[in-house]
Amino acid sequence: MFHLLFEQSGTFKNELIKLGYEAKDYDILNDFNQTDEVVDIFAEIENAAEGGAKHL
Amino acid sequence: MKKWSISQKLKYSIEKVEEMSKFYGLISKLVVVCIEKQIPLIIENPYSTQHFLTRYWPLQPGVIDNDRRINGDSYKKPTQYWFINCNPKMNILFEPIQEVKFKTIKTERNQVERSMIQPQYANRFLRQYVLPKNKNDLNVFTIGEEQCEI
Repeated sequence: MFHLLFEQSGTFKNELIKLGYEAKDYDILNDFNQTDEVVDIFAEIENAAEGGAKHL
Repeated sequence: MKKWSISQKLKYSIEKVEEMSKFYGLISKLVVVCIEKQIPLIIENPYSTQHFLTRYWPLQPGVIDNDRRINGDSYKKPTQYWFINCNPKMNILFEPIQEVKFKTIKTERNQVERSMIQPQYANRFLRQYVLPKNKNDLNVFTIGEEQCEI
């Protein structure tokens, strides 16, 4: 499973799926209604750095 | 900005440095977390010799693409890629590139449009540097044994 973060994550996600791989993208924005997980990635990184995170 | 006072320019520069410091901290924390959890991570960012990460980050990029148009993107936009807990593959693609309209940052005013990557470029990048060679893909040849364990 590939996890794509931030800008252009959707483009790479779509190409990975075309190539036969599982992929999900994460972003705080959902401008094109294609983001799989709308997540505050900055907060997730900060939480993970302190030892706890939901996704990371 | 040209008509700003020195005071305005300094206040603006303080904001920009604080913002850059925040983002530098975040990207570095992401790398630390991935190193500790042994998560393979690939980071993409613009490349120039003056780029903040090029000058100050202790990590070296695994791939530098000086002209993305060669691999099917619309923009030249030199780009660098860091590979953490993995190495770039060394696959070569022998297939023609579909023609795309070349653009420049100066001529494209829309910020969203300026950041768009062509699907063709993303596809080729993945097959060249990230994914193992697919035995059914007759256009891809591997010249090295570098592995990116995903």
